Amino acid sequence: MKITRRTMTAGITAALSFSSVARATEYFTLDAVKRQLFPEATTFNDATFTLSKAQKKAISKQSRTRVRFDKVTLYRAVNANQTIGFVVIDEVYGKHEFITYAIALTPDRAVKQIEIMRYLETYGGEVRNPAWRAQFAGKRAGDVLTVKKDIANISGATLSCVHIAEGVRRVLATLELAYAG
Amino acid sequence: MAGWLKKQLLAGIGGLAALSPSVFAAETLFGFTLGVDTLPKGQSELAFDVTRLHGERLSPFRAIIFSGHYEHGVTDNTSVTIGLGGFTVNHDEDTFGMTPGVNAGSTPIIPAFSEERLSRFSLGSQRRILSPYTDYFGFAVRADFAFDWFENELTDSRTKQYSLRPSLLFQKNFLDDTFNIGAAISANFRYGCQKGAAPIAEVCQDEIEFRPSIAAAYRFAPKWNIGVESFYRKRFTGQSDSPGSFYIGPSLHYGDKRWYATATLFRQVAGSAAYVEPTSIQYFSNDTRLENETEFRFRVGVNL
Repeated sequence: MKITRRTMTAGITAALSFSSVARATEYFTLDAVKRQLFPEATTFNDATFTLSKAQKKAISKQSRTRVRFDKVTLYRAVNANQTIGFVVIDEVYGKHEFITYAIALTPDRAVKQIEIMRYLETYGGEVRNPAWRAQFAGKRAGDVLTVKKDIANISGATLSCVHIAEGVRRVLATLELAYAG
Repeated sequence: MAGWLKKQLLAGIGGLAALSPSVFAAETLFGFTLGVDTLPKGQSELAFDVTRLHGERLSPFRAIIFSGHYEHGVTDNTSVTIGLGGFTVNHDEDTFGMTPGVNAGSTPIIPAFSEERLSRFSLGSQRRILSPYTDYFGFAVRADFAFDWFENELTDSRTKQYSLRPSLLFQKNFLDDTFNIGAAISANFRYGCQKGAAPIAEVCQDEIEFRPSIAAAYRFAPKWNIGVESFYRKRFTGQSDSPGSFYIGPSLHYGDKRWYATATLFRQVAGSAAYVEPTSIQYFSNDTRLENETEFRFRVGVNL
């Protein structure tokens, strides 16, 4: 059976055209996610800080994760001059790109809520599922926060689940070090 | 003479296409070595790959072995694949160092020619047992069945070959899954027959090819992975064993949300001088060898 290069090219082009379903989305801007997590806040004070080498090492040891970045993007949610919580913007590895998400913490540094801000992977977008994200509520530094243990896995989204759980564990250890230490 | 050599070249390329382990399993960061990942349930991908071969020793030719695969996730840990493949070959005019009109007559020994063939149908399935993300290492089992056919109009012969290739796949990830090492062990059981025009009898032969491979890939930037890959190939037939061959080369992978591409360049660094020995399977009854020292593969996949 003979075929031609034109046939091959047409097939590949058709397949690429067929694959036009947009899956990547930026779900929240920075301002929008802060409002989503603390709608009652009147202001958000930028409390971003930089970790020292010793701090990174301590966080890595406590959270059992790598600490890749020095900078911790942190906002203090304020209402009537009272701190009502914190918002941390963090990134973890997806298969191809970074997954950007936000963690809302109570004043005593327990997880209030997490939101996925930017997810650019082909598969695994189920991590936006509210029921899965709700598992993190109430978690504190020192909790297991491990997929297949106290965090359920989502089949087909395992890499994202694992990395987000590790990210939350690292952020909690970071805040614990910064505020309780 | 020209017809005989052309027949050998076409049959040799057909043999290469049949030997080419162009199986496919989800988006892997490696070039030839399969990763353990399968597609999530209900998801599908199309992948196309082309492998460019270049030979000089027997006669100057450029060949491309191509294949297309469709994969579907049956469950989150099991996927099935269906594929078609073939080859194109372009052969330069070859005078074997003689000057047309001066030596050996006035025409080239082999005139330039080009052939394009569809020659393979394949089915495969992969089952992931352990995940590299949550278990100590990833492990998957895989089986591929292929049917290859090749018709040679010059000699009015037809070749059919069936092959079954079970594989064990391993993967260990490091550094937040940005540095991956994969290994695969496979054995390809082939059985083929060549039937020529009467009075030539049908000739059948079986063969086992043992092919372990190892690969590493590192994500050096978002979407980009660079790696190195190596494989060893040795074939056993009922009559003789081929010398083993060892290949190594770099790979580059780009992955986007909708599509990905992987390029791999292999160079033979040890072992047999012949890239493929068609005599070890059914294609030839003489000792003609089609030699190739480098192999370049490009794969592009799209998420449906």
